[in-house]
Amino acid sequence: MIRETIIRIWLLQKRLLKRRSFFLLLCLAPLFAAGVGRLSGEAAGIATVALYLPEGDGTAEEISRRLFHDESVLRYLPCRDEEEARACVESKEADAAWIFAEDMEERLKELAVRRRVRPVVTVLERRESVPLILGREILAAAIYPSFSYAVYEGYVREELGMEEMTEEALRAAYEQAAVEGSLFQMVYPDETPGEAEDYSYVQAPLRGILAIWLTFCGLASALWFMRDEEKGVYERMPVRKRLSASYMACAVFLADASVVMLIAVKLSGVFTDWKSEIVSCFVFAACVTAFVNLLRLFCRTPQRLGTALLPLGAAMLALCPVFLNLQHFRAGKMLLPPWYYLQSIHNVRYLYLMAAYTAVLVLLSLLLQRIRRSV
Amino acid sequence: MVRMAAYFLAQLKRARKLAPAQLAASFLICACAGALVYLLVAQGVLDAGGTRYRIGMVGDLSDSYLGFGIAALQEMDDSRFMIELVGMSEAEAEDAFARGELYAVMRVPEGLMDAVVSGENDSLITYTPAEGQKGLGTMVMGEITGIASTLVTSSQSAIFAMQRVLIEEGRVDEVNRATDRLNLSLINLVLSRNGFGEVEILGYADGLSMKLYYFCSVFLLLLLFAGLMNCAFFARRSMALARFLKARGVGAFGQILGEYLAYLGLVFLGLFSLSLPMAFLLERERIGIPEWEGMGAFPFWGFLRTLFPVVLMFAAMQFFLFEAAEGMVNGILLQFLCGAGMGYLAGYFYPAAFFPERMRMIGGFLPTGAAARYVEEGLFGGASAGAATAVFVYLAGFFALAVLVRKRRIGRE
Repeated sequence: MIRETIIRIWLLQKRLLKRRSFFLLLCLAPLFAAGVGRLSGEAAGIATVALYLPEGDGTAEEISRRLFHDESVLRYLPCRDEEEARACVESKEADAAWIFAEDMEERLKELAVRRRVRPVVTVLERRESVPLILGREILAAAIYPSFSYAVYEGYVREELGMEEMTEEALRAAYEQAAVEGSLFQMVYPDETPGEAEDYSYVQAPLRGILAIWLTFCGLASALWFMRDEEKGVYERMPVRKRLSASYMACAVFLADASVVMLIAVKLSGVFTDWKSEIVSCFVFAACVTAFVNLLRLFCRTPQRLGTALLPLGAAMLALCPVFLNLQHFRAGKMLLPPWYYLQSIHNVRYLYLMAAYTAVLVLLSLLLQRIRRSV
Repeated sequence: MVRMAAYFLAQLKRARKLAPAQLAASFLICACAGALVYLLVAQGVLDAGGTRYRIGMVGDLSDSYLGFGIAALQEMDDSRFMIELVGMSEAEAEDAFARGELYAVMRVPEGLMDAVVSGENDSLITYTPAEGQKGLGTMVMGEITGIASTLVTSSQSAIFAMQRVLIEEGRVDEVNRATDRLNLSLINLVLSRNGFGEVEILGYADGLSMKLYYFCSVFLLLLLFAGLMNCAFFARRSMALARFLKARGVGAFGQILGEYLAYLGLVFLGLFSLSLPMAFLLERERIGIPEWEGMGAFPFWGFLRTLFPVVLMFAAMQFFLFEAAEGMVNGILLQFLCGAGMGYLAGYFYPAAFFPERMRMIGGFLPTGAAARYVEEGLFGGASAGAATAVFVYLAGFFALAVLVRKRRIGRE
């Protein structure tokens, strides 16, 4: 029995890999992932901001340092003068321009003494958008440390009556008392800190795309089995054994695809660690095998299964957290294997849920096959 | 020529057999999209205010300052339009998180306020996002928490520095009063922080609004993946028949042309069946697209006319991919990967403007990029010669490649 299974797996594998086009097709996924992973290293942002900061102004330099950091979701285009910044917005090169006042340091000090917030930056926007609203918050947070320092300086001098205190003494007291670091830390349910993952949002959807690709590989394998069935390849096999044969054919197909997916995930830059990746990928492949086989039993003909591909692909793209993470439609999400896989990367709970869902799918397939046979 | 026409008619018959399945799939897509929109409307996600991210706050919220801080954020700060902070117990949060009702869970450690007051900041607020892995949402959230952190730590620094100065000057008795006053001033300034920028919105209307952008993207994606829905058309094709036809005078060009035109019929049927409910919704003004406001479905018909060359080009591309992939199974995989990859690079999922320069450039050169440019320009009064040329060059290229592949296959004994 075991020997027979091994021989069958070997023959299926040989048949698959003998087709050069299949092999080349599998290679496309890692190529795409590696390409996007490589391209994503360049500067990108959900909005582009043309930035004019006056030269020689200490405050402007501090603000500039705060804005230009690797993790920023905005892309900045430094400009030589106000006109250039305006021109960038007008020519669509930038979505917004932040034009800082020439006498930034003095204006902030003046405002700090009066403890009032008044405009120190001209913000030009092509049109209002969510990224630019976030951008204004980023701008305010970049100005605020300089402003709060100026408020402290003004408060000590004006309110506490210490006009004679030198700039150096005030600065030294501030630097000694300065509070550094973040108050927040992102952690995943498996206690992995957020900083452990170092990639940009351009790479982020790659895992999701590859997960949907693997599901399509599963669907293609189900079609492959159905076509073989039509051709009479399984004619000599009793109908009750067809389900296991179909599982085997899909499993062989998906085994190759899973290896390719692991390589693609590694090349894309969103890889975590071998152990969790292999375990997640294995359970996911098993879940896809069960899912596509149930679908195959439902659809009955390759034509019907083929027609279901687009609605299914659209549902996976909309409901699985690939490009957007909708907070609703949990029931719909729970029907799709990629959803479990994408959630399971840092949360072992979803791995168990995916295994349980696989068991449910297998049971449903067995039940459906029995009903079909008895009818 | 007569044989070519006869072959086309035979293919058309084959396509007609697949039409009911095509209509069923379109109906399924419309039903799913309708259910999605209905649920979004029912849950208030599409309201004018948009969706607010619900964040569960767990842990030591007993401190009155912290309670005041959360209340101030929810009542006065601009972030209240984006974020809803909800205090709950750990069990409630776990439960709501598992049910997918929370965008993130924030855990406030014990003694956080004491740590903040003393400037230690050694006990961090940890947050767990609902997203399985880092994505755009978590990155934006990281930016927001970074902003909040900067505002708090800068205020802390100013207050501690002031306290230090007072203590060094021997005015210890004044510390508490001065701290309260500076604290209040800083809180006021933090709440009015958006006043640092004088915002001037130029209101340029030369780019598509986000709603129209995604409306176009959805149509382009459906057209791009139409090959998946119509994969049955490419099943059971034998080279023996192709060789027989060649012997009867219908060469590779005639075969591809006949099959392509019949396939086009299927694609147009799919587009038409999806467009009807869309036009109905636009006519009833159930879909709000800023550029088309008050015009009913009229601009939508113009949009469909603009799509026409793109349909021809995408159909030719799908045809070539199925021809090159040898077999339906390979064809499906190739269709999906090419569609998803090229669609992603051309900005069908995220706007292309989000991508690095080189990626945008590559995306623009791809057939999907050429299609997007053609449609975008078409919506603004007419596509430029460059955009139209790119689409037609791709159309001719894919068609020629499909013919070449068929020719090679026929020649291969």
